[in-house]
Amino acid sequence: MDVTAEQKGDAFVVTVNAARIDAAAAIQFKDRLREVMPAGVERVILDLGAVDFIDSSGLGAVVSVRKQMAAAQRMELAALQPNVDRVFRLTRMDTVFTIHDDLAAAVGHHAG
Amino acid sequence: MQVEGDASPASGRTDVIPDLRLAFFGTPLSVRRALARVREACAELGEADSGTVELALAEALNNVVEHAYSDRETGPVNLRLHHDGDAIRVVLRDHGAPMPVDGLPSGIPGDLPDSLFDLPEGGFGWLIIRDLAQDFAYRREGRVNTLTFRIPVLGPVA
Repeated sequence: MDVTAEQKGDAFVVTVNAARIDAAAAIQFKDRLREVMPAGVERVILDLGAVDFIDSSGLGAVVSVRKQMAAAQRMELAALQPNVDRVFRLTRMDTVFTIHDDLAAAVGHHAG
Repeated sequence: MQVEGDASPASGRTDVIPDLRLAFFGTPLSVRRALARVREACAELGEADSGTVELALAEALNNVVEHAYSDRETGPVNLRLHHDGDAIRVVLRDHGAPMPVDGLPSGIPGDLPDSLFDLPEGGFGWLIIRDLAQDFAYRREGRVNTLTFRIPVLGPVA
């Protein structure tokens, strides 16, 4: 799975360049995220702007990656398309993750 | 197929989507291909409805691949869709392990844990499908599982 990452301002932005995080892609997605994320990075923003479909397997993978980070680290999500946003809302994961409408705004946004 | 200007909102709604029958082996990649066909077939319902149908079916099919079948074993899956006015009726068959006798799973419990480190990484599937679909019925006949349900849709956008 094509995942790219770069530091932008105070955030480490991980961009998923794939249309689907489904059951066929979930394990790959998890592995790639672990590869690109440096240990100890404080604030990660997962840019899902290119993703138009996520299922419960993909959601489980996002949760799993977050759980492997330390409590002091933050994982936020940005640029969710409607079908992806809906999955986070249906499962109430929108109450667990900070979700930004827009990546540029998220990078500029220094949450207290 | 075309739904042109003569299709008033009240007419022709029941069969806007032609019946779809798909047969395939239950693997994650074949589920992905089946969902692409479903998405294409439901395109005329509009982005919101076709997304709903795809997501509900994704969860139902993932459940077959992960539970009825398993990592080591797969088998045939039959999927039938019928557009019935305000819903897509689904019949899903497989030859895998039976579902639990005490009924369909409800998904994860209603309350989320206080710490995100206690969050479940699975169990979201039934939470999603129960939100998007209704009128579930399951039966086991011989070695065949049949799950039927309805996915409410709004129909073609005007």
